[in-house]
Parts: sequence; structure tokens; C-alpha cells
Amino acid sequence: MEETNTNVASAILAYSVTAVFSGILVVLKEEISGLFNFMKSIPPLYHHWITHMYFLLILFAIIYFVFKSRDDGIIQSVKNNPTGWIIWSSVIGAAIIALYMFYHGIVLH
Amino acid sequence: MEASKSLRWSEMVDLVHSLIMVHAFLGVAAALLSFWLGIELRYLSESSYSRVLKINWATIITTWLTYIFAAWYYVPYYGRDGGSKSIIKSSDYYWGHAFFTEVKEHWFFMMPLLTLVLFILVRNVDLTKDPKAKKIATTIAFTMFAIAVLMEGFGAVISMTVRLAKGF
Repeated sequence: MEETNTNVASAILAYSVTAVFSGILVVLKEEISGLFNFMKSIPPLYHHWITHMYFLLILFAIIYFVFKSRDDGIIQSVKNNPTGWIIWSSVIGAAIIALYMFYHGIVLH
Repeated sequence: MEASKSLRWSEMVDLVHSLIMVHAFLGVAAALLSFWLGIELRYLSESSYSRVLKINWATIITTWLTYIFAAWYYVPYYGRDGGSKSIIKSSDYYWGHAFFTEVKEHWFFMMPLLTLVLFILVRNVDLTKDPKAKKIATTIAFTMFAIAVLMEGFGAVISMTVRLAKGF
């Protein structure tokens, strides 16, 4: 079986890190009002949800371009189990958001 | 004067409802397209590859349009004074926003990011010649479908809590 293309492995790594970071950013912006207000101060729409996407796209691009010319360490790990990286990072990112919102929005209400 | 004011208001309400429905329609379309893509990839052949690429593009475009229409509706309308957010939050059905909207709006980010991986994948690899890449694309398509279906369900719960909060 062919080895996963390095560009593709880099994109999967970028997605995985960004998906988990997105969950962490949800917690941080809810807990740190300064960060939330900063995210609301970014033009053109001045809304944390739009800025959240800017942050994720920037992080995705940085990781993708940094790792797409490398073929060692973590990229090899992604190549060995690319679907596992996609599924587990999605589950972890989603779980961080759901558990935090359950606690913050319902338990603490 | 009053008539023209009420006309403008009704037009505004229609516009808001249209935005919600376009957003919901695009969300369902993205879910169905990602499922179709997953099935096509599962049974991929040389003869079906051009169709798979078209479905792939349709999935990517529909997902990003869903984000644009969501932003168009949620940013100016959902959270405004007297909007759905404040109606739900001030009712016994506060959990409709506190959990379901918050989770839905943040889970969504995974969808456009997954389309970026799909885009990079099909630009770099011929899926008919690389079974491992085909498996990655299939995993992405079904992951997107799973997220989209959950989000559609959450959207239905949010709509229900708005109606319950209004006493319908």
C-alpha cells in the first residue's frame, strides 16, 4: 500500500491540531473575558464566532505550510494512522466543547 | 406612514426567515452531499471518478456557503435584543441556547476545516490509484456527515425551544 502523501499528512496534522485547539479556544474565550472582548473587537464583523474561524484558518495554514516539506517525527505518525488522527481529533475537539458547555451552561446555571 | 413601516418590518421578518431557511437547506445539502461522497468513494472506480470530484466540489462549496449564511443570520439577527437568543435565555428553556446553540455553532468549525483537507487530498492524490488516500477521503466524508446530522438535530431542538419559550 502506498505511503500517505506528505502534503496530505500535513493537512491532516493541521486539521487535528486545529480541531482540538478550537475546543480549547471555546473554553478560553468563555473563561477569559479579555480574550472574548478582543475577539469581538476584530473587524469587519466584530463577532467572536467570526474571529474564531480566522484563528483556526491561520493556525491551519501555519501548521500545513510548516510541516508539508518535512517528513519526520509527527508526520510519520500521521502517515501511519491518518484516519485515526482525523477521527480522534474530531472526537476530542467535539467532547471538549460539549462537556464544557454542559458544565458551564447547564450545571452552573 | 404606519403602513409603510409595517411593510418594511414584514419584509425584514421575511428576510430573516429566508436566511434561516437558506442556512438550514444548505446544512442539509452539505450533510447529504458528504454522505453521497462517502458512498461514491467506498465504491470508487475509474469510471465514477469524475462524478466523485464533482460531488467533492459540491460538498466543499455547500459547506462554506452554510458558514456564510449562518454568519449572515446568526451574527446580526440571532443575538440581537429581542432576538431568539434572548427569548430562549430568559425562559425555562435556557438550555436550548446554553448547550445546543453553543455546541452547534462551535462544532460547525470542524466541517470547513475538513473540506480543506479534502481539497488538498484530491489536488495531490489520484484516489483511484491510492487505496489509503481513498480511505482517508471516505473517513472525512462520513465524519462530516456525522457532524452535520448531529447539528441538524441540534438545530431542530433550538427551533423547538424558541417556540416553547414563546409559548406556542
